[in-house]
Amino acid sequence: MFAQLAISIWLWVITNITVGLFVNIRQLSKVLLASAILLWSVGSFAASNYSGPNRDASGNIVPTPKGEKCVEPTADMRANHMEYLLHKRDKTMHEGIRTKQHSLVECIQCHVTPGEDGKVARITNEKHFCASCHRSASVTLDCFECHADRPAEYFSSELPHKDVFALNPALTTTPHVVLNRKVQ
Amino acid sequence: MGQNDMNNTNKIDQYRRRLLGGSAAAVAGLALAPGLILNTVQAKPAADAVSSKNRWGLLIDTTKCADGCSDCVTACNTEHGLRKIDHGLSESKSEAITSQWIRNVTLKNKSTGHTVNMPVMCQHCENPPCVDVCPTGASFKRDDGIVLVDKHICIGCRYCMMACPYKARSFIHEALTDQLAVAPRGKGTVESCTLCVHKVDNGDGTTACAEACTHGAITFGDLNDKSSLISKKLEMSGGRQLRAELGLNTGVRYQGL
Repeated sequence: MFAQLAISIWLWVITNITVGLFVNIRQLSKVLLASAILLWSVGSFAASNYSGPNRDASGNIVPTPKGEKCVEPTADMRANHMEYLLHKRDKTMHEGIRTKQHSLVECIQCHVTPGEDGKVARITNEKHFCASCHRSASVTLDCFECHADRPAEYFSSELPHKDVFALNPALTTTPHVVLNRKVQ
Repeated sequence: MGQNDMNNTNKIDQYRRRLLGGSAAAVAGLALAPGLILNTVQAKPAADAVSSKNRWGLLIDTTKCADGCSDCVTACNTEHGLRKIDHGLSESKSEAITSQWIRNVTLKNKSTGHTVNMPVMCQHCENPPCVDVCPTGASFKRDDGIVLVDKHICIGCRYCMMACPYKARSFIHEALTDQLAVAPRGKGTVESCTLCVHKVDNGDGTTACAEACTHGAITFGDLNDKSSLISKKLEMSGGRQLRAELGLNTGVRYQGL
């Protein structure tokens, strides 16, 4: 009788401790995971620190636009392009202000990229300027469900690679294109 | 910030409308008054907002509109990238479900047998019912009188389609590809004639339909500018509004009805 009581008490204590421990482990693992993610993201952000305009956070070379520089500093555009686009969107839609600054059409006009398939990269292609970053950042964008994802001159046909270069000579000088050529 | 301003403007418009009550005559009288101010129309600088100095509109001379001609519809479709979606349907069925912003309407007088052809599109009302019923503010009127759908805000409820007496609006049921930069359009939103707003803002001074009409039946212009061709034509020969009794003061006028 005494032994049974002792065993049941012992079992009760063990169970409680185990459950408590389990809960603690879960909580602990969450904390660990969160801090790991935080550390990783801070680390990768610091590591990126804009080592030249053509690399993303993972060090991959990203598409290079035609122009010499963007309408705003690169870091500013990376952080705030959506705000600029939203503001411009309302100005254009409701007030008919169609300046080129912060216009989505102008972004698309400049940030044209050849994809690996020998055609102009569409938004479904990870080489597309917007897609390249939005994919790695896991941020869905729905701009191109309505808006054109490539300049008008590429509309008539899916131009082969060499024509992309002809239309956009600046592309031939970028490391991105050199990479593509190696693939070919 | 800009949006708040716009919302306020819309609210003021609504307030004015309510103040005038149901009196269509009073609304129409008020609407004619700005037309008396003479002003010259120039291409708007890209950085300037549109203003109520202009009131863009169309004048359609139905006596010149040829039977069986659909040049304006085709030109509109080409301009805005409205094209067939391949469903594997027959040609006629496929045609029937293709978006178009202009409809060819034929009216027949049963007693005389006289028929009239005319294109009917968004009438760009001064008091648009579509704007009144829109729950999100997506349906709106620009200061220069062009009625548009802000597809960024449109939730696809289609109240505006119900409210429009001209059946001018349509809904996009399917995902689209290869839309043109000048006419972004997509699944789940309502669309209608934009009065070629991109051309108007560019200072082209015309619309795709007016350009394409070889019969000279469509005139685009500024109803507020007494020296414009459209105003002179209206002054000389008059022009009717469709369903004028609704007091919507449409921007599209018809002759020969």
